[in-house]
Amino acid sequence: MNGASLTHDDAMAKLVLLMRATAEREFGEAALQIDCAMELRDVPITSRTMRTFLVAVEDEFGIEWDVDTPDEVFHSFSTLAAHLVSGQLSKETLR
Amino acid sequence: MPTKEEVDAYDLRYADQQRCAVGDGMELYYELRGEGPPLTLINNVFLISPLWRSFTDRLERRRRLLTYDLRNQGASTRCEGAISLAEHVTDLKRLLDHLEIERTMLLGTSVSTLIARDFALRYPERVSAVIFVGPTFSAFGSRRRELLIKSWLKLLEAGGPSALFGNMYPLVLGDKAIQEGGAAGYLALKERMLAIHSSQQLQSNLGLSLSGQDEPGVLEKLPCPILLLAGDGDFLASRSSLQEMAKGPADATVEILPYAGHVPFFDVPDAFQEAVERFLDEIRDRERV
Repeated sequence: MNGASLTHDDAMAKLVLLMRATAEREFGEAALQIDCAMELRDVPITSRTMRTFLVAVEDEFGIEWDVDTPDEVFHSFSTLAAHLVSGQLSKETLR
Repeated sequence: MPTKEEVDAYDLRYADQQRCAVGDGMELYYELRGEGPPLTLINNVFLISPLWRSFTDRLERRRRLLTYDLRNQGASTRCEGAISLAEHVTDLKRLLDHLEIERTMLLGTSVSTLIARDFALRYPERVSAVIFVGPTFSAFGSRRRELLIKSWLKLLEAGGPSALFGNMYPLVLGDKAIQEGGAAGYLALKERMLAIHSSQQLQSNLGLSLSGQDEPGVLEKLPCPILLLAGDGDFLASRSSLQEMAKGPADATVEILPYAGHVPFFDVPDAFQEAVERFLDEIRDRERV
């Protein structure tokens, strides 16, 4: 993701939309029931769809996942968003 | 027992739920798909019933597929304490009785090859053929499996499911699939696994393979056709060990799938199904003769 700084709420909203779009391809309209309050463990998708989602996140946010990403990051859309925002802040601090 | 909402949450397609009481207050979640003679697919420790759909689309065109969650797994009843191999064998018998399936082909993968093997030994009249995918038993005995499972249980105790996953992932999948899956593939499978399986569930289901010892030559007692199938990158089932096991039984075939590991249906789902179909064709052709 380029341009203006990413806020936590923006990131979370984008993540939910990405998840809905990814899950919808596989499960149809039921994917629209996914909302930002859900924990990721309760999002009803297979590991294949989860992988597609994570790749979409890489593309959307311009990141590359690290296999050492802590498990806690994948707790919820909020924790995922916090991870993405903190990653962006780290990059800006380094510049 | 998980609620309907919890069950639905594992996978949208879990909604088609049916259950079978197998005694002791236990119920098994099961699914039936496809047409033809029955083929019963037995989950390994990490596989749950709905995931089979991703690997069996071709098979369901010629077989009636039965998949089910083991007790203390997925949408089946949860329970405390160790579960023996014998209990899983009895559960399968009761499930087949419930569904009025007199005879079925069995497919076990990894640890569940022990369930398939012991079921076929105990109820040979109920089994038309057995497919062992990445068998965890060996013609030489069970020592290697015991050491492996004990080390995994220690890892689980010390670091939880996350540590166990980190150890198993590079062992179980093939190098090609791991490379192509990338970090996203690793993290996605890990996240799903941690979402579905608790530490206690993994402990009891891994422990089942410690509840019995392998008797060398035991497959000789199976009177039905046998397929021993593994990826060429399987860390447990080598070509030579499978060939050693195939020496005894009158009707055993070994097939090794390239670019695959211990669970070849994950790595190469099409090649996996083709291998099973070849086995089905061989049996059909022989029956015609």
